[in-house]
Amino acid sequence: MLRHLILFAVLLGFWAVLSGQLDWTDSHQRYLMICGVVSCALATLLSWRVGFLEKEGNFIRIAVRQVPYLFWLLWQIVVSNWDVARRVWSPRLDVNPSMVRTPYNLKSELAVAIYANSITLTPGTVTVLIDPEKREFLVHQLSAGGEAGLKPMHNKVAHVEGEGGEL
Amino acid sequence: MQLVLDIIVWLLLGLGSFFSITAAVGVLRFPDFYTRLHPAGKNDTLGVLLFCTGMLVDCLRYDYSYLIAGRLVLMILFMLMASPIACHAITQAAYLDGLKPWQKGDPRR
Repeated sequence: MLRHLILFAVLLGFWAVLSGQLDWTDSHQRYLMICGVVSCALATLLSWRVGFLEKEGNFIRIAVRQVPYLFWLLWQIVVSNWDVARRVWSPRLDVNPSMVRTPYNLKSELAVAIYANSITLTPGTVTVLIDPEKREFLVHQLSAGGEAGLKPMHNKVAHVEGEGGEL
Repeated sequence: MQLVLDIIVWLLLGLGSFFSITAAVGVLRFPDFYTRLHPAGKNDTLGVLLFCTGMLVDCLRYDYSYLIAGRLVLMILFMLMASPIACHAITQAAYLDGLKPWQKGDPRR
């Protein structure tokens, strides 16, 4: 229940920022605001019926713990961009790509998605395939040794999730 | 102070253009589909992030509107999520379709 209230509040905030028309005295803006509340309530109701939020683990904890992780990830994105840009502009085209498999040990789908996204954004690696049965990713890397940075990142994501074990 | 902010804005916009151009050149230069996705998925993300941050600073500096600033922040968060997901979706489709990755020594495709 709490999860759905939070979802409703987040959707309302999203609507308010995107619409920006919050003058209750103006009849047109009042109409838009009522439309916003109704559609947010409808979206919350539908996601409750489908049961989206039950599968996501403790997403409040994930949302809070994600903040320092996000800053670390931004720095990793800068590093990875520098790495790719160097390869793009180097005259010899310094690439030696290969595919590697890397295991993961995370519980919720949200954490798996965060980890997969982080792999794509960080140096030299792109997530190709997620295998939930064997619990591993297939990762394409630009040069050998790209998977060295994956284990510390997995443990950071496991800490953000708070349930999955370390690798 | 205004001059410093101006320089920051232009620096951010310039770096964003640099990374966007790098993404385009990388897509042209890299040898096959999978390697091309590296510049397309990463440099484009950082390029757009830098553009949005630059516009954010510019927007707050001239005190245009906090609403526009809020929308820019939402855009940054959305790009951070959507770009790798799109990249992953297209790679997965290619892999499941049986496209073999390029290896060193193969001819360019």
